[in-house]
Amino acid sequence: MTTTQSRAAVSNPRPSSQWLLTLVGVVLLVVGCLLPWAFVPAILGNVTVLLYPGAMQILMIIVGAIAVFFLLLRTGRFAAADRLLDSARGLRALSVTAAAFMVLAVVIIAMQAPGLANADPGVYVSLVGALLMVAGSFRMPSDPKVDPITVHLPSWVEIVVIVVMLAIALFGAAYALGQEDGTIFSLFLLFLAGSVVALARAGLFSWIGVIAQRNRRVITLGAFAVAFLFPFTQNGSDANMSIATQVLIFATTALGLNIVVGLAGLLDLGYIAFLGAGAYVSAMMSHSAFATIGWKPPFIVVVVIAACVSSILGLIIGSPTLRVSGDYLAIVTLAFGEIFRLTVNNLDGNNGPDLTNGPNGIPGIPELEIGSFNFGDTHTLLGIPLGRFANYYFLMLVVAAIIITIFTRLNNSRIGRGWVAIREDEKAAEAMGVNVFGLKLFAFAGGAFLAGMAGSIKAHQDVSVTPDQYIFLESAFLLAAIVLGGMGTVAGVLVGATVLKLLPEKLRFVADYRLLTFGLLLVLMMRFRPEGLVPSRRRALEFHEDDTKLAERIEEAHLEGMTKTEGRA
Amino acid sequence: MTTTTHDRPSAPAASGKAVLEATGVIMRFGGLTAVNNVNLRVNEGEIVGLIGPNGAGKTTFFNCLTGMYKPTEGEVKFQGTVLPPKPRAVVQAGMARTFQNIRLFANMTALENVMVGRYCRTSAMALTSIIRGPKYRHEEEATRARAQELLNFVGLGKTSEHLARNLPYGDQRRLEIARALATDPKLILLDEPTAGMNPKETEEAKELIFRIRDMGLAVVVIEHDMRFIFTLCDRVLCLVRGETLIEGSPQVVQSDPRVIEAYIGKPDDDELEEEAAKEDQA
Amino acid sequence: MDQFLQQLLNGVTLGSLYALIAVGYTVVYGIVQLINFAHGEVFMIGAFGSLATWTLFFKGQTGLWVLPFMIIGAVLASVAVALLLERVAYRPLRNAPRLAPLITAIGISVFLQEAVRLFYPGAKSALPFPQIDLVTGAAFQVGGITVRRSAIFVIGALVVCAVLLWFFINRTKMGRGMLAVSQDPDTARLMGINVDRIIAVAFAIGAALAGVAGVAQGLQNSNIDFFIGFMAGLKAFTAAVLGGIGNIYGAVVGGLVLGVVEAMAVQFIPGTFGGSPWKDVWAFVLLIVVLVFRPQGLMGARVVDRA
Repeated sequence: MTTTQSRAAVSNPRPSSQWLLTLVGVVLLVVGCLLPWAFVPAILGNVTVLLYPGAMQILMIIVGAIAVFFLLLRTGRFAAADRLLDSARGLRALSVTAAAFMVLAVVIIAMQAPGLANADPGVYVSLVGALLMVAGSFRMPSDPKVDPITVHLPSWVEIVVIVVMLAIALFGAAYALGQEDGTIFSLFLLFLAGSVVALARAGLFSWIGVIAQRNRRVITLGAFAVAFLFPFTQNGSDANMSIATQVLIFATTALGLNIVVGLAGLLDLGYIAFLGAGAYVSAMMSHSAFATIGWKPPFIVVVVIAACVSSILGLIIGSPTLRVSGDYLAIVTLAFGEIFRLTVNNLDGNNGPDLTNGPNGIPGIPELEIGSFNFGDTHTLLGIPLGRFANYYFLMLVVAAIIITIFTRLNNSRIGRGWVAIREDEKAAEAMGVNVFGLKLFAFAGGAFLAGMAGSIKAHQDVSVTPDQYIFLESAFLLAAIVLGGMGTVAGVLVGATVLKLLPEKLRFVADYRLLTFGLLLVLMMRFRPEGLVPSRRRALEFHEDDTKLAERIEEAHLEGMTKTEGRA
Repeated sequence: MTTTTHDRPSAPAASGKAVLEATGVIMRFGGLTAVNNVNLRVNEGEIVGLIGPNGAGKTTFFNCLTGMYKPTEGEVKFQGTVLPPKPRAVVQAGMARTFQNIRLFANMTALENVMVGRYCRTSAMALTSIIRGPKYRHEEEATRARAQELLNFVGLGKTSEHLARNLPYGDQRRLEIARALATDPKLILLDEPTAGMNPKETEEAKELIFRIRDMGLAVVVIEHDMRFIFTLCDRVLCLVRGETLIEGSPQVVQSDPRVIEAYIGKPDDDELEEEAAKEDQA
Repeated sequence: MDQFLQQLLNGVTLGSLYALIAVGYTVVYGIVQLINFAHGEVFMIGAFGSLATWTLFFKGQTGLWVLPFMIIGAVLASVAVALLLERVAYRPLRNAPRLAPLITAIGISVFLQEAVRLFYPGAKSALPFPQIDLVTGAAFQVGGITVRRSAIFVIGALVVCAVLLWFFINRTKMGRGMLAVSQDPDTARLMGINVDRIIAVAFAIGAALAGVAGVAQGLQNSNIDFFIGFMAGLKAFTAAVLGGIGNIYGAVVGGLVLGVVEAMAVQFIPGTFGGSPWKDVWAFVLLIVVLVFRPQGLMGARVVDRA
């Protein structure tokens, strides 16, 4: 019973009018969800049954529940949480989400039913509720909150929070992937984005970020467990596993690129060529009828050869770093990427030796076989069938784990410090004895090595390799995953890669606008959040040189982290 | 190998053995001769001052010594061997420097800055860093301990986890010195270590330089503050327009009328020109 | 000998096109040290601008009098887009780390390509470019070599543009302001030069020339598509680097050299690595070699290499 807080004292005895208004809105929203929304069952899953809400209605009920949680915070009875979370800002974002969701739902019903005549009162009740929420929450005062980095919770609470978050992530991903209907998927996306924004506005994420920072090992293991469990939620369906595998390959490659761009600070616009080199080597040495190399070593050997070929190319393309840097280097890598594509396109026997079959590429690459395990077969584990894509998915998960380990360990080592120093001030780094050229070259070669590795698996997963899989746009996509997610962080790249690969797969009806949005996204990110969604602290600082407040905050967080770990050790 | 020797030389007086010998150094940028035929000898355990008005070529001369520039003519011998004009080789050999306009790694912590200085004295490569065996952990631990030790030495022990950019100006200068010391140098070159400092900080800086000398290092200092340089140095070299005006003990240089004239007479600000010329060259 | 002259002419024609685009890279770089990676797309917009002008106002016309209007349409379109880019995307990033404008440029590039592909009627595949009397049509035979009419237009366009550019830079107040800003933007600002305006003018000049190049490309190849900007932009950048980026006449020389090298490579590199499939490869190899061994370019330029 802490009533020392000023606002709590104001709102405690008698709730304010805007609080009541919002509450009424929430109640209406939820009640509307229990009523049918439409007469036609084929729309939005099925939203026609009284007191038996469909999936879309449940989403709104969840929004209502979160809103109630925020409203309860404002009664002042939960001082501990109230200090942390800015419920007013959260409520605002939530109400806007609900309103947008309901408007979109009405539009979808009107378009698909067709006609508004087919809408049931429930949808209007919910819509009115959402609008009332907007009206109420926007008049609520919001007050400054305690910085979450200064709050300490028992560590079991923190771990529970992490586990719950990961479980939600797994469930959410499985659910989203299961949706075939574009309208449902976009509504779900709206719900997801809205709730995330609402929680972020309320300050929950900076708090979770602090927790994640403190329990990095738990979260890494947890994330892997989630990723590992994912195929088991799919019941052997290949449709989603194929997308998931694509996402994973993309993310793995982007992680490799993040070593070059995020850690070493070198802009590589030809990175896809290394993936391509790996894939081509793997294809040329495979048992495909079109393979051009007679020698067929075991796959492990092929992986090593592919990675080595890639890293040799990496060394070649990295060697100009001795002389050129910055934008020039970016263009050199871009030119290199183009040379790779053109060369692969040309080497068909008429123009140069026949290595790659020219524009037709190498089709019919057989399934991967390691030992007696054939990746094309369906295996059953614990009664759950795991198909072809699940097999590749698990393999890529292992590769991703390796790359993540390499990434984080390099980042936090002598070499990592050297890279940061080079990024910060190349001349000073050189004058302090850092081997600038060597480290840059290593970044290129190392990044290429990892890409070559991923490429050799990708060739089998894709069944064929063709030059048009390895164009500049793909390099730009990889770069975008890093820019969107956050340079120099693993979590950021995973988020960025997932968003960039998953959304176009699912939002088929906007597939045509995919690249347009992609281009716009790059521009907007650079303008408004150049450090990405999940930035590394140092990168955030580099992009905001003048922001002293940010620098101080980050330092505080760092010092806080230090004392915490020291306390535990 | 990873720690410096702490045996103190008997006295400020030089042992007579040269650490650094620069003879006939000439540096031209296109038509501009920034440094013209300058000789400098630095003995073990000696503090040598380098003074001169703006644009006299002091920093350019520094850059010639530390391998940032390759002198057009003349040679620089460090402990009897001519070093290749590469900053890294120079550091490896045992010559470290600070910068006139502070060039710290701003977004790294103080400790990390100094740890970067240890780079050339440690050896962990990629595979070692990934596998992290006992040897790697031992080296990291030693690096960290040494860096902390140096921060304590310059008086920044308590701010080791602060970001370099958040440190006050004077502390940044001291951090640069700690970072340079981390490379285990035999000779340290300080480019205007007290620029922008108040008298108290200047006094502390002097104290620090004496302590560095007492560790057995030779020190070369560029400075504008006359009182500072004349009370600090064993020997002073005055450069004017790229040429040696006078070299000798502080007393001798201090009382030379030409030095006073060079400063008060007409300080020529052709540093801008020099910068432009450098850019052309590069 | 005829073959050599023929390839020389082809090279110069191609090179003139590169040169027209390359000037845009080099003018902007000279002033703000920014590689406007989206410049190739500005060129593409120019081509579509002229096509749109023709389709809207002169459909069916083939008279030579239409050409000036098409050029104006092209220049207006590309200048408008370039100015918009500068204002909306680049200006806010002027003090950001170097990575930011480059990534922005890539984003813009993709955005513009897609915008044209999606919203220009029929642009999902190549669109035929109008035939203009006297400029297109049967080629001349001069001795043993074939001279296409459009080639004369391209080379002529380069000459006229180069003369106008020279006049602008050396004889106008704005041109001298540009020189001042490229030397030292801060001092220029103190001297009362409106640096923002100068930068915008630099973008506009580059875009205008790219617009002309767009028309030239259309006439030369008789069709255009949304993707022409990528390769042309990359080649023109190569040309700019070859001549020494920041050096305007270097860009012209670089463009011509690159064009000739490409044409000669097709003809004279023996074995299976010659021929037109490899010409782009040779151009990029040349780019890398120049950047590594002579980053200041053939003509030499003030290279400010800021990472």
